[in-house]
Amino acid sequence: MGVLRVLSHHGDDRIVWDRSAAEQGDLDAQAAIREAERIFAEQRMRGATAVKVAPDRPAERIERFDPAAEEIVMIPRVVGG
Amino acid sequence: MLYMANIVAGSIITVILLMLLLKFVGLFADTPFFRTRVWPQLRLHPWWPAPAERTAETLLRHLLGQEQYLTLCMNGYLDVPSPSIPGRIYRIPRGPGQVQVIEHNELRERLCVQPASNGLPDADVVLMHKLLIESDERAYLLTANHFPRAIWY
Repeated sequence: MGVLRVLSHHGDDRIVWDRSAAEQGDLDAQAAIREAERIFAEQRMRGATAVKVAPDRPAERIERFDPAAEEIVMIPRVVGG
Repeated sequence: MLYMANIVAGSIITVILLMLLLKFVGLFADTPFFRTRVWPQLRLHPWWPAPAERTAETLLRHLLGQEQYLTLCMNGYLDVPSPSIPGRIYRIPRGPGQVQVIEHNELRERLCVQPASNGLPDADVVLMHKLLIESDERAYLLTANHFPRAIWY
C-alpha cells in the first residue's frame, strides 16, 4: 500500500493506493495511482516539495511520483520569514 | 421595575465575571507548558473539536515515532541533526518561533522559514521543518532568512 499526503490547513489530505492490486489489473487501484500522480504533479506545479518517507530511513526528496513508495508527503511552498 | 433592574445588573456582573474567567484561563492556556505538553496530548483524542489539528498531530506522532514524539512533547522542541555538517543540530520549536542552529552546543544563528500560505497546523509546521532539513538541507538554508547572533536585539 502507498499513501500520498498533502499537508494543508485540513491537517493533511491523503490518497491511498494498492500497487500490487494495480499490477494485477485492478482498475480501481490503477485509477487511484493515476489520481495520486495527478495530485503530485499539481502540487509540484504550485511549488510544493515532495518527500518520500519510510520507517528508520531519512526523508528523501523526490522530483517524480514513485508508485512504489510507501509514503510520500507533499510540503506546500515555503518562503523565508 | 426593581426586579428587572436586578436582573439586568445580575446579567452584567455575570458577563463580566465570565470574561475575567476566560481571560484567566487564556493566560494559562498560552503558557509554554500548556502549548507544548497539554494541548498536543489533547489534540490526539477523537473528541478534539478541530479535526485539522487532530489529523496533523496524529501524522506527526506517526512519522516521528513514539520516542521522538514524547521527547518533543517533553521539551517543546525537536532536535534534527544536520545531514551534512557534523556537530550541527537544528532545534525546531513547537509553535511560534525561529529554528535555532546549534553547533557543538553553541547557538550560532536563527532561521526563519514558513509556509507561503497560512493555516498549516502547528504539528504540520514541525514536520515541514524536519522533512525539509533531512531531505534537502541546502535548499532549506537557501530559502531561510538567517538571523546571526550579531543582529539579535
